[in-house]
Amino acid sequence: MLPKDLIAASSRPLILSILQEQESYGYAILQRVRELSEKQIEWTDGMLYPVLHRLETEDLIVSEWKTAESGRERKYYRITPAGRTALRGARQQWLVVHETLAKLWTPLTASI
Amino acid sequence: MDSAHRFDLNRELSQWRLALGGREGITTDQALELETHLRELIGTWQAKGLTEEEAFWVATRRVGNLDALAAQFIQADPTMVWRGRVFWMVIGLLVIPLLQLATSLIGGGLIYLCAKYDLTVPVNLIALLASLLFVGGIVALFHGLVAGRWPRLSGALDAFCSRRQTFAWQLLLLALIPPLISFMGLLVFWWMHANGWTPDAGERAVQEAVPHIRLIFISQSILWPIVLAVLAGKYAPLRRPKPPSERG
Repeated sequence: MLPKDLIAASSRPLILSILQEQESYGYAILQRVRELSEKQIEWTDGMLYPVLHRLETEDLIVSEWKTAESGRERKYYRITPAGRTALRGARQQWLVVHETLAKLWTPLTASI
Repeated sequence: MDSAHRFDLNRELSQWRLALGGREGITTDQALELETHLRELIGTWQAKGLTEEEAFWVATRRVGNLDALAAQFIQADPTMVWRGRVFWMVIGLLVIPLLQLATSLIGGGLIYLCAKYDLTVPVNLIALLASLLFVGGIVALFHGLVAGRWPRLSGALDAFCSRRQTFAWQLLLLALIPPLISFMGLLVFWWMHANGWTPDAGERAVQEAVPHIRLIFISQSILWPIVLAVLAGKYAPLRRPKPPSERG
């Protein structure tokens, strides 16, 4: 399990990346994160929605109520052009962190 | 099992949604969205073999404490609470004077027509019906809005009030509406004064002959208490559902 602050920090790029693939709704986003991380990243059910709301007020995503094939009403989210730009920026930052750590850890991993 | 205690999923879900939507920081639209989330969770647990009631309790426990949830929403967007409040202030300031104007016009119009055409009995009945319809309509409208009975309308209102871009316009309206209303009131008063308008004997006689016309004017004065009562109902702690173990 990841610590809380890391989960919170990674929630925005994760949501934007999932929505970049295709539009989706809250429950499916949670499932996708659980799957992709092989249950290493477990968001609480109530944590996702405030973040989605925040992204929406920043115009990075837009939402729309739609009726699914099963007849269920769901609120679907879609990424906006501004959201894609924000995601590119976030991607750069995460890659910097990742590459820096990777350089430091490569010799270490060999010694472990 | 006693029929009074039979588990009704839709009723429990709407109670859960009302309890959630009543918390500040959570809009009707968000409460509806979380209700759909709860339905998905319940479906998953039912597929694993739980009964509807068990699945409901497991799902609500997963989503967790509603106050904590509302606190997370406020933390994610602290100004949301005030945008929502200002939005309702604007609605109140806009809608209530308009309704008062409408009732004054209907009441005044009825009195004028009665004096002119000497109608009493049908108008008496119409006045009674009109005031009942008016009060009932206002109660139904506000209650429906607060309870999220019209998801599309509530959603559109919520989306409007949660947008930062429209907030400045709302503040402007808030600042402009009271002086505008006072000014219009003054204009009407001045116009009536300039035309030497006073209720004539015929109109006074009508007011005595058709007592129910007064109801229309009385229904105006109970607008504020109705609105306050509905809002108190929204923000008062709602009856929370009890888990099955605490039931008789």
